[in-house]
Amino acid sequence: MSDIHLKFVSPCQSFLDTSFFQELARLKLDVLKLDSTTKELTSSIDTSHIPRGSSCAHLFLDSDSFKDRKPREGELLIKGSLHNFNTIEEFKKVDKTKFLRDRADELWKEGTNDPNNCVKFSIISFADLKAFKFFYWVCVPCFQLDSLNPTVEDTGLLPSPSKFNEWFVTHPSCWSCLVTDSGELIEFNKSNSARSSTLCMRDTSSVEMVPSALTKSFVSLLKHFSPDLKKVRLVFIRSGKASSFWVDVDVSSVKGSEKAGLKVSGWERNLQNKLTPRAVDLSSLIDPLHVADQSLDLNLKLMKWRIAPEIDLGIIKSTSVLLLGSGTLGCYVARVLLAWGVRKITFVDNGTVSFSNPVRQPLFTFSSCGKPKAKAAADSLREIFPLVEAEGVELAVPMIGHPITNEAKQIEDYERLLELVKAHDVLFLLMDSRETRWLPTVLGYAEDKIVINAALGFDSYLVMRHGNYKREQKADRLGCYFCQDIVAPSDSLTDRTLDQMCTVTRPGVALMAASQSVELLVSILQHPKRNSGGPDEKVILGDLPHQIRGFLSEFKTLKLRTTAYEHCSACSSTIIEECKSRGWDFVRDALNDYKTVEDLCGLSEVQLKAEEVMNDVLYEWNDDGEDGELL
Amino acid sequence: MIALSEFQEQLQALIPVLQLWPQCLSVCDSPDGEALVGMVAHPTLAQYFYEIEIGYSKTYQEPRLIFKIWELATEQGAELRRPCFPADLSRLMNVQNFSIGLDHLHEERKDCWFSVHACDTSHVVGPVKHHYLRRWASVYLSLFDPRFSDTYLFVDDV
Repeated sequence: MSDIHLKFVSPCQSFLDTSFFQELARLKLDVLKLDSTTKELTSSIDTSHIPRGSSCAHLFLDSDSFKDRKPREGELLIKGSLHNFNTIEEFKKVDKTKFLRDRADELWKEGTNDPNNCVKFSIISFADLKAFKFFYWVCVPCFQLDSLNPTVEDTGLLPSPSKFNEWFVTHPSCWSCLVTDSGELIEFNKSNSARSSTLCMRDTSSVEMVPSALTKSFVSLLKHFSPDLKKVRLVFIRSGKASSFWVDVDVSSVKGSEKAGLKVSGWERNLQNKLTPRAVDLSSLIDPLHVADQSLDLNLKLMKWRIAPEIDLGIIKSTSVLLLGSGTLGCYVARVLLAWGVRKITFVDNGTVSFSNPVRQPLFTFSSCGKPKAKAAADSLREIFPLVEAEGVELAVPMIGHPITNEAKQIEDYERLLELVKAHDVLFLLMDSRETRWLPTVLGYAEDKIVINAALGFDSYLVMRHGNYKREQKADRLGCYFCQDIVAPSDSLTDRTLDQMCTVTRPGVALMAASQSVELLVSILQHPKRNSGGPDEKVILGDLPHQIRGFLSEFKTLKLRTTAYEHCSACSSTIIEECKSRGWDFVRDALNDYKTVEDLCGLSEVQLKAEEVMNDVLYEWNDDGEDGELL
Repeated sequence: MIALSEFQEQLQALIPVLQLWPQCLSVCDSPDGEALVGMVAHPTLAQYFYEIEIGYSKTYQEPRLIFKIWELATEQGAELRRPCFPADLSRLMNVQNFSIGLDHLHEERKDCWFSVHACDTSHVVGPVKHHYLRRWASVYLSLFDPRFSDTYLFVDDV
């Protein structure tokens, strides 16, 4: 023998597959968050396929390693643990020596109960989810009694390892066994140790006549179980032909017991044989769309880590939104919806991008001018985030009080609008005239959709959610945009000057209204009953107001609430039921003459009564002022 | 061409061949059992290694070779492994006349792999079904190591 001391090879070489890190990223983001407690892992160690180019078996970890699974035929499972740290500084500060010693102490303790449990691995890690970079270091702790210094007396190849191989096939979870004096193979445990001086182990090394470092752990346990043992034969079983071998070792030099302490090794060395942690940078490997997808989710999911753990992001992501109007409000609303993770957004508009639009409407650029607005906005949104399902629909929303000029076309528009309303969960009314909002308001009620309304003045804005509708419900129903009017909307565009027809507002007003309208929707979605809850309820994000009115001249906002008006031209029961039952016929009448709507909902009668009251008041005034001079 | 059933049978027989390849660091079945996955060291440059997958192309009914190139560097005291996409593969690999593209999106892992196009395979490998995959490997794996075919000197049953 050239060297009387046993030499060892690392127990295994780890390879953490890309899917392992993808799963770690997912778990960190969705499940673990700031939780840095230990997580169990399961892997397998392949001792039967060790290539010639490798000195030891491979420990392969992939996404399945996070699951607790049963071994496949011939597979040797190995349990492990993941210690994921929240910052790179924490990862770096880990006392690696202490960490390894602690793990080895645990394995020693488990090994004294069942020696097969002394083979486990641990991983320390830090996941930089923004850069898609993962730092990690794998250890397979091996321990040796301080006082144990086995010396080699003899060694040789094992001529017929088949009976050992067969035993391990029938004991797939065992790493070791004992051989009795009569040649019988028995499980390695404390009680059996007295019956044997031959310890047999699966060997993960492929180096000729050099076993893996796990040998140290098994010999230490055997010595612990049989302190008087002086000589032991170690048998190393390998799958390759003629490579299993035995070594006779003298363990009599042991002076103390386990109380003398353990020498520990196990941190994995890199390819240059240095003890350093490892890192993997997957940013360039992952499909950019997948990275974009995860990155968008990342910013949102971080809310759940600490600030708003109960927020339901799934409901936001799965909500489909129809934006009626693709102007300043439509563009800003779409951007905020995108930032909240909404993935299906449909724009509706019948205009084209004009040269004045791009400076105020953030989805358009100079090159968009002349293109249909809805389609240009959808294209632009997809450029920002390719995974958004954005569509642009060129459509003129039929307007109350604007008589029919081309019925075939307007029926088509009405039916397309109805189809779109049905296909989406939420409608945003973002148009620039009152009469355009009327039909979508009625359809929103008829189809039981959430409707968010945003309207701009020069230096003021209104953001509101339309109340829900139940035919039998009378009291406490929240109102709609038209509930405070005593006239039905009609043509407000004909015979108007340019400044009266265009939206003339302070530029910042649209941003404020757009962001508040989306935030209002997000709050609604957090309510378990969505828009059907009571009028003054709260959700995890705070208040759930009915209306927000902002006044930029005073930098002030007010939260208001109005109940539904029983004679409302849009949300009164009569109108909604009439729309439901007569469909286009009802709409055609409303377009041709808004007075039919007033007659239906009772506004005509209200107006008549108001006129009578006014006449009475004027009469009284005339009586009072008989002797006076009207100035 | 090789039928899927024949391919799967011959795939298992390829494992011992790959185990004898000095550059092969690991080889095992893929988790779904339909392919072989392995790690291969670069024959001369220690800072590069390959991750390879030998699967089956149902389109061409031929073996399909995809691979990733990993590069080792040091960052913040850690050995950093990162994918490498060289503009000129011939500076790193024994490209010969292979047609290689960075065009394979792995269905399960959602990441990008280089693929060696299988269009000329039958012409290269020949029509004989016996040891089809071994002959295929002797040609296609020389991409990573010009001396790959030396491995066959150690294979008993050729």
